[in-house]
Amino acid sequence: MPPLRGALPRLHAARAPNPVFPRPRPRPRPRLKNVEALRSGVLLNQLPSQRQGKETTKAKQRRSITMAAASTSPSSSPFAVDRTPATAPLGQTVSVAPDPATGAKELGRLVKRAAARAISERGSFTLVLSGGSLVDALASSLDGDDGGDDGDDETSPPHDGSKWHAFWADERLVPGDSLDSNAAGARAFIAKVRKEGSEVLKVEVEVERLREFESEHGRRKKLTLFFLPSTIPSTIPGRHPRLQRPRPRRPARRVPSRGRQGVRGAAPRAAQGGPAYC
Amino acid sequence: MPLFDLVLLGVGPDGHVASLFPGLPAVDVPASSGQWVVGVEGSPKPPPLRISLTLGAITSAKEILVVAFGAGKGDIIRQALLLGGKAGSVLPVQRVAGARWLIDAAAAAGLEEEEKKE
Repeated sequence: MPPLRGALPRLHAARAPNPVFPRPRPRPRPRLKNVEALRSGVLLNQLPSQRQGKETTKAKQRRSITMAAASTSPSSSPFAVDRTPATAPLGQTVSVAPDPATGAKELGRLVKRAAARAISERGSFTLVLSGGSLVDALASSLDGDDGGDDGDDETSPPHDGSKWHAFWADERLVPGDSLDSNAAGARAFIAKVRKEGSEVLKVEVEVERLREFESEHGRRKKLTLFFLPSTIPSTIPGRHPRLQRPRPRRPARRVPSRGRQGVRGAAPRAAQGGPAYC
Repeated sequence: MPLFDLVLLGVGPDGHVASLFPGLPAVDVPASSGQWVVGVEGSPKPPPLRISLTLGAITSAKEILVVAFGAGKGDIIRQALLLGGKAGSVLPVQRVAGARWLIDAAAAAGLEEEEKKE
């Protein structure tokens, strides 16, 4: 595996135990095929939105609608029925399940279907998660099901977590040990997918560092940060080299009183600059 | 833009998705900018500082699911799906082109009332 830019190779190199991301047992690192493919441009050429030339808004809407229609035939789900109102915006569709438990099953079915498709097409599955109850619903919907789920007309291949790559749709900028982060809220889910060999990358950005960066660049409210080091480029690469460099996640051996006073004892880390990923 | 296979989103009572809250500049990052991630400051829901995928990054995914269960979501679902644009401003969730809503019957109750009226 060629060296990846950014902090990715250091993901498992943390020194102190982290309750959210416990140090994994030694095992071969999963190959981030999708990341490599993305970086090499192979993937880009295969994907509709990456074809050469700008896709017009209309074309994009049409594609969205086609995609939505393809995945939303009312009879295809044993758990939910199509109830798309005529007023739904931008090709959106609506599936209604009778209750949350059944809804969670439908969620699990859709996720597994998407995973199966992606893995058969490209060998990996990229999933974006939001925090909160959604992740818990997903965790439970993936539980205790190794393929043939109740009446599902699609054959799901065995769940292969090593081919899943999960990303956050968003994250709160809070200290790494805060319970407010999506990552903390998703602890159960992360533990589960980790056990199955998946990677979930957590973004950790110091609040203090963010403020410092903002004042340096006067880009308040327009700040762009790396989300995942090797997959998503910042729109301001090179403008601040420290933002592109990993730093230790838990500087347990540093003396907290040294350095600048940061928020919640974060000064040593903030002083090193840049977001940390773990 | 990134090409995610599946994006799972919730929706807030104000129509926010990810950390894209209505009225904040983060929602308006144009897809043409190629920006995938945006910093969010002043989130109405604490904590105020966040980062989020942009709408462009979200809508470039192959599939997008907006999941909302419970009667508490009924209001925003009705607003987003039936009253589109009428309230003057477009909610972030309404701008997620091609999203598939997955809701339960309790959340869909508002939808039915409106349909009966029409």
